[in-house]
Amino acid sequence: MKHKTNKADHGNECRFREDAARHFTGEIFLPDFQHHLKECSSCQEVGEVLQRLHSLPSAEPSDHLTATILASIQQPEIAPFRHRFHRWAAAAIVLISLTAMGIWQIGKKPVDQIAQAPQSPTISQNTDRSVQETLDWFSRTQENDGSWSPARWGGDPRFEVALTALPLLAIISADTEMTPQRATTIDKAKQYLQSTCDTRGRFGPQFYGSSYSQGIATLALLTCYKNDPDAETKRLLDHALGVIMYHQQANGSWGPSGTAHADVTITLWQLEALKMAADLGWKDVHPHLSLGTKWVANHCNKSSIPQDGLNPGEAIDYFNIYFATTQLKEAGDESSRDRLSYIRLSLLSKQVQRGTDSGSWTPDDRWGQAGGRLYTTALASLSLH
Amino acid sequence: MNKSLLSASSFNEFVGLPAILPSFAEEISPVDDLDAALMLQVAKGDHAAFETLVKKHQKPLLNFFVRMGAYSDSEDLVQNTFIRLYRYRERYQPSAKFTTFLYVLAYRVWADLGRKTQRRERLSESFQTEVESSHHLATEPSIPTIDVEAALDTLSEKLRHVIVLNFYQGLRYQEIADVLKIPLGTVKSRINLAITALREQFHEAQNKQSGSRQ
Repeated sequence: MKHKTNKADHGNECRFREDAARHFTGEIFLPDFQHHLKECSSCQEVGEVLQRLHSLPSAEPSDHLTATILASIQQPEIAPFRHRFHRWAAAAIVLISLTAMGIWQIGKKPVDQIAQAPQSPTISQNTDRSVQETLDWFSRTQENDGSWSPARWGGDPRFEVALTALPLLAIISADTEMTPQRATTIDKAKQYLQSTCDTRGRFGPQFYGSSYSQGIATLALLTCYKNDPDAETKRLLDHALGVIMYHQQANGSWGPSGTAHADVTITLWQLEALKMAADLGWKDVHPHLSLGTKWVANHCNKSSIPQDGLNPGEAIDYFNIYFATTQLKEAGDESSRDRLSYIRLSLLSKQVQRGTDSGSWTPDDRWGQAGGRLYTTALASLSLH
Repeated sequence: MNKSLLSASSFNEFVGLPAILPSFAEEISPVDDLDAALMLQVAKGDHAAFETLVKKHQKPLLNFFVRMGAYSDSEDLVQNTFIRLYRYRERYQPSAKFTTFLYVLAYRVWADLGRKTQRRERLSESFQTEVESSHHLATEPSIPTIDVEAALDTLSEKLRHVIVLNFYQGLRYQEIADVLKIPLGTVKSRINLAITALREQFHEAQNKQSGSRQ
C-alpha cells in the first residue's frame, strides 16, 4: 500500500510529530512510520538531529575512579567525619580569630608550665639541631622519584601527595643553610608534586581526601615559587589555585571532595594557600580569601580553648600545634613568645633521638593512622621553625 | 532518632532526594532487574555487589554529567552520586527500575551543583577558559562534535535534561517523567522543543560552515 502524503504529514502538523523520536530510539514501534519517513521532511530532520547527537563521543572514567568511589564509601558517614574534626579544628580557629582580635589569652600559664616542661636552657640551639636532624631524616627517607611513601611510614597511601607536600614544606621553610643535598631534596620533591598535577590543576588521585592534597600541595609549591619563581610553576599554580577557588562552597568553606559539606581542617589548608598566593600577588584570590576567612570567623567558638595536647593530661595533637604556633609567631607578644617556647621544648622532648627513626616524631596522635610518621614529623618540624 | 522509622518521603527529604519514590506506579521485581538485586545485596553488606554496580554505572553517570555540562568536577559528581546511593542502601526498595532510581540521585547531585552556579560565574575568566579548553583537548573533538556540544550548550537546562536522559542515557519517557517529577506530556513536549532547537542550531552551524568555505 502506498503511503499517502498530505499536509498533515509535513512540518508542525505531522501526525508522528510527538512520537517520531521515540520510534527512532526504539522505545515504541510505529507500524507505518518507515513509509511515512520517506516523504516527511520533518521526521527526516528529527532522524538527522538524533544521528548527530549520537556522534558525540563518550567520556571515559579515569583509571582510579572505581577505587576512589569504593574508598569513599569505606569512610564513616561524612557527617561523623566532619564532627570528628570539629573540636580541635574549632580550637585552631579560635587561635586565628582571637589573635586577629588582639585578645590572645593562651599564654597565661606558660611560665609555670615551662618549669615543668622538659628542661633545656638553650632552646634556640636545640631547636636548630632538632630541625637539622629532621631534615636529615627526610633526606634519608625520600624515594627516588622525589616522593615520600606513606605506606613505608605508617600512613594511608592515598595521601601520598599531601604527605610529600608536607615534608617539602618543612624542608623549604627551615631556616638553615641551603646545602646541595637539601636543594636536591627540594627539587626532587617539587618535580614529583608537579608530575602529580593534571592539566586542570588537580593533584593526585581524586577521592574524598583529595582536598587535603590540593591545599597542602598548592601551599608547598607556592613556598617553592616564593623562593625561586619560574614560569612553569606559576602556570601550574594558576591552575591549582583555580581549582581551590572553584571548589569553595557558597558559604566560603571547603569540604571533602565530591561533597557539599564544610570541613574546618580542609578549609584552613585552602586558606593558608590562598593567603600565601595573595601575598605573592595573585589578585583574583582576594574575594575567595575574604569569604573563607569570614566563614572561619563565624564558625569560631570563642569560649573554646586550644587543645594542642601539651598541657598535663592532654593527648598531643600535632595538627593543632602547627596552627597554634603559626598564630603565636604572628602575634609576637610576650605571652605568645612564652607559650611558643613551651611548645618548642615539649616538641623537642618528643623527637626520636636514636636509631633509624632518629630525627622524626612518633605518630601517636589522633591523626597518626592516616598521616603516619611523615605527618607528625613534618608538622612538628614546621612548628619548631 | 531511629532512621528506619522515617517514612519514605521524609527519608527522601532527609537525604536530599525529591519525594517521588512512593509515586512510582510500577512494581519492579528484583528478579527482573539484576541491578536492583545487587542493590539488595549491598544492603546486606555485600561490598562486591556495590563494586559491580559502580563498575557498571560509573561511565554512564560520568557521561550524564559531562553531557549536562560538567567539566572538571564530573568525576566528583559521579563519586557523590554513588556515596548517596550507598547511604540509601538500607532503605532501598526495588519499587522502580534501578537505573531510574540512580538517575534520581544523579539529578539531585546535579541540582545541588546548580545552586552553586552563581558562585561559579564569579570565578576568574581565565580559569573557566582553561577548564573548558582542557576538556576539549581531552576529548579531541572533531568538527561535528564541537557542533553537537555547542548546540547542547544553547539548550535551556530543562530541555537539556530530557535530551540527555533520553538520547544519551537511554531512559524512557515515563522514566524521565519519574526522575524529573513532571508529567509524561511535558517530557514529550520538551523533547520536541529540544529537537526543534537543535535542528535550528545545526542548520545555522551548517550555513556558517558553507559561508566560510565560499
